[in-house]
Amino acid sequence: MKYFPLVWAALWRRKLRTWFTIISVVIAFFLFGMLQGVNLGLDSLFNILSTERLRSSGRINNNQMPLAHLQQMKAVPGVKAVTPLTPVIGTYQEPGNVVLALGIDIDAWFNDIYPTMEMPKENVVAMQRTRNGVVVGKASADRYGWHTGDHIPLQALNVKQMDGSSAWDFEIVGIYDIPRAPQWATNVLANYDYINEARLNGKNLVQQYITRVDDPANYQKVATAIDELFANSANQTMTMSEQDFVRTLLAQLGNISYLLNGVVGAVLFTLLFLTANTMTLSVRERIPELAALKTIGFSDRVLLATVLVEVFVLCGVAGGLGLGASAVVFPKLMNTLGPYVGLEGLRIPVKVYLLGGGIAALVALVSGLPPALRAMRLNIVDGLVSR
Amino acid sequence: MQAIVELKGVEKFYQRGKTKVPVLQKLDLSIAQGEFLALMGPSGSGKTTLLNLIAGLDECNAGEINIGGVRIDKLRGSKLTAWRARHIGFVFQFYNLIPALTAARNIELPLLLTNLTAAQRAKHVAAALQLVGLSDRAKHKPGELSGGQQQRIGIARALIADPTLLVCDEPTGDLDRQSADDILGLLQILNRQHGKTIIMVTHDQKAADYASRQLHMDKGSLIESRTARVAA
Repeated sequence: MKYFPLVWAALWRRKLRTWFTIISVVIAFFLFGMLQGVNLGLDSLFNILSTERLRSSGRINNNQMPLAHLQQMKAVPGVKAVTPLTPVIGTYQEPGNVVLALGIDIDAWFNDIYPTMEMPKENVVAMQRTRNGVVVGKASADRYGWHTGDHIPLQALNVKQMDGSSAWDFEIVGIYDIPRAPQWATNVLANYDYINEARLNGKNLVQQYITRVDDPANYQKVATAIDELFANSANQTMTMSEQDFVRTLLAQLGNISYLLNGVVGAVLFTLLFLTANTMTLSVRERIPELAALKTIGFSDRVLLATVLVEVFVLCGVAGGLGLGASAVVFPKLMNTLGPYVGLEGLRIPVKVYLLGGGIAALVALVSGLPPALRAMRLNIVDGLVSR
Repeated sequence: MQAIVELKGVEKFYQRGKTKVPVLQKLDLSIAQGEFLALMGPSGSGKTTLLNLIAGLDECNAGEINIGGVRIDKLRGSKLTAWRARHIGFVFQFYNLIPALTAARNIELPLLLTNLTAAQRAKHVAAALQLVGLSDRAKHKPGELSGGQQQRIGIARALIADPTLLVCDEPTGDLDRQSADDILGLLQILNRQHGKTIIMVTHDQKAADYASRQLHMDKGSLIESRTARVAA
């Protein structure tokens, strides 16, 4: 600790350069946090998705499918339960508060398809009794301060009511949670029948069917059977597991993981050179000072350590600020943009911060070691005459 | 008086490719405790090399260097570093202060290598600042001080750990006459009133006149020794 003023002084010897380096490191780790947050956050999403649930959508241009498919799907061997799903994308109070209300079969949803979602049985009954009743995810309830009995008016962006109005009124009859991944408890779950009857267009059409299979090992067989069932109809289906469905959806945006890793890699690689350059310059212009310190009696090891601590402080503080900024911005960004793509529950996993800390340490070590070794090996006589 | 520095048959050469460039040739020297010695000579005569050898900054190729009873030509690495920290105070021509540290922090540097507490270090620093007459400049950074003041800080830093030897390499080489006289007067006080043994390399005869003994060097050998006309 007693050497810290020396480290601090060296760090601020060239204030402008230090600030530029800090800003660069902050930006780099902010990007790292944001991009890896998406990357590893999606991995965590895949972990809660499963192959025991299938998603069927219209094969041609993702067209909506007729409600009549529902009964036929239920009759396919290996199918345990099926729910229709049709979304109402709306805003709550402010244009930035985008809320996704999913019209579903509430009984099938909680009892058979997503039994791991926690909700009291009486709420299912309440939903069945209340035509415009909804259950809301705990994450959204916490965010908007919703309670059971509240009415939530949504200004729909994609579905109009019979009278041409975009205003939908839902009554909250319960709150559900997803204990394994509470951040994903964000949706509003409504009765499909209510939405279907009240909407102006698209009556008796379904955006998606979600099927629970008896045996996850047979999911491929069941998916094929469903698609074959409608192979000769005008409304062919494309059925895949929930995991594959989300992967395919994301793949339409390109290989996200590859892209994000590439960007993060390039940013960190550039950062490495930038920090190394800063430290090399910093040590080079301090050669006479370092030689003077050696003359005074500072050992080779102390000088090695002070230069290394200097770069570790730089990368640690700036990297921490960058990761901290991403921790603040990422949830806000996901809350704003997430509902449009169904990713509002995406959060930066803890391992991104741990990984970020490790990378900051590695950047510090790789960029700081050569100049630190130079300081350590400095010949005093040569150093003193080098001004 | 007891010799504190004794050099016997010291040789130093630099290797330039296949050529051996001799710098010091079979040099013998004895410096008594409490002496103020001025080393003079033209550029390239070897005086700074001799100073570096005495201060343990460089290694000789042959001969013995005995400082205060320690054969420093036998010391290497961390042992030599530790010895230097304890026994040598070095005053540089260009001060070599850390620009981002205050005067007090610069002076404190050698004490960081000791086991003194922060409070004890601060007490020593205050005393050293008072000794060089810069108590009111403790919080100033080197860039806010004149050349003469910076050199005083350099001297305070060299003295703070109470070294056996004060080694000065052209301490007034970068100063105007008035500042140089102030610095030399301070060195003289340290020698006369505090009994510090001082070895000073200088080109300046007026500076050398402050010393109690002058040695002249040429081509790696001591060629003249005389007692100085001691400046007032």
